[in-house]
Amino acid sequence: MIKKITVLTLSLIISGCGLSVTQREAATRFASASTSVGDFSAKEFAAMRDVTIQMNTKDIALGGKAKINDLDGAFDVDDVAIRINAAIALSAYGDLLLALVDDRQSRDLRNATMQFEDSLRGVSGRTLSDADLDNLGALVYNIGGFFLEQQRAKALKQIVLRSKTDVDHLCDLLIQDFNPTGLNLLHAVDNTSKRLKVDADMALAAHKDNPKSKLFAIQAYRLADSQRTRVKKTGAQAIAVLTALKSANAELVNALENNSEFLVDTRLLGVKMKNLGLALKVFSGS
Amino acid sequence: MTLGEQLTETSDALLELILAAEDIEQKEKLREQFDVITESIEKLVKENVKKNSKEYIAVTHNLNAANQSIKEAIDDLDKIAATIMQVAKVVEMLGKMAAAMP
Repeated sequence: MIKKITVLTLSLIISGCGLSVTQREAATRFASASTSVGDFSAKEFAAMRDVTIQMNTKDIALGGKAKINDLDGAFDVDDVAIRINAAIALSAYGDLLLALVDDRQSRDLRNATMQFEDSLRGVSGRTLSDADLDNLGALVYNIGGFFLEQQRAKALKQIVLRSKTDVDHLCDLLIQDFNPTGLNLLHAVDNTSKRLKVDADMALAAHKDNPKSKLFAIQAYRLADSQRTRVKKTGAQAIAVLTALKSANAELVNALENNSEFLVDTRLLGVKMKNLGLALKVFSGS
Repeated sequence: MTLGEQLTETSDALLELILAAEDIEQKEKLREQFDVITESIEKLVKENVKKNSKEYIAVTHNLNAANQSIKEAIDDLDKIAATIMQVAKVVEMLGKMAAAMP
């Protein structure tokens, strides 16, 4: 009898009420990337503000056109904090999705079931055989696991479907900010670095015979140049990652709604994250 | 080509001309035009940043609500697991009682 019920519960689980392997993979990969994108964005917004202040300070010292009362330019503290909060929310969304997909509760249940079997095995003069105990343990585990998986799949589907538009919209906003010609934040860094480059060049022309002033101008020129390269490289990689994250979000929804096994962009996301990481590593020393 | 791309292209071209110019007067003349472009970019950027901040606030609010839902879903899963483990304990006790019966 116990054997029959066990087989029945196993077939219920296999019948697909929980998450499929593809759905779990789509959710896990998307969630990890969301965490990384959120963390990257939060760091970059703070770094962009810092470097803008640094460049404008040097520009003023060179006698350039930067304004002493507007050193942070477009990077007002409030606007940067708003973006960092959004990035943190995206990172937390990724972390929490990972925790939801993780089958910690099933592992806890497996351990509890094993304890339960061991406990019954220790009873002297028991009437149940070892095979009966194994089946009884499996029965408890399978029924419990079935309910857990069903609940997990339901919650994941509801939350991911409900959040899709917001995640996409946040990616669009971040794409605008990381577009070097998008008239948003990264564009502001590029603009500031170009102005510094011009002012450094003018200072070099004006102070040909003053080695100290020349050295300062050369350092400013170098900073402007490295920032322009950084803007181009990280901007392009960040946009590629954010675009891929949007596609992965769509693939996750498709996997959860239609059991689709199509995860091309989701699987490429890891490669794009790696490229972005490499680009950041190259510039972290500059 | 977008407005941002056009402005970037123009300021890039002016930057190259300033760097290539040999005398300071020529640099300063080009610089005036360069300033017009960079100041336009700065003005547009500031407007867009402020406008997008409002959208960031709305999307952050919604994502934080989603995060709260996920926390609640995880709590529910923990409760289900705890309930099943309680049931297992009862079954265990019943098993022990059955085994102890003559």
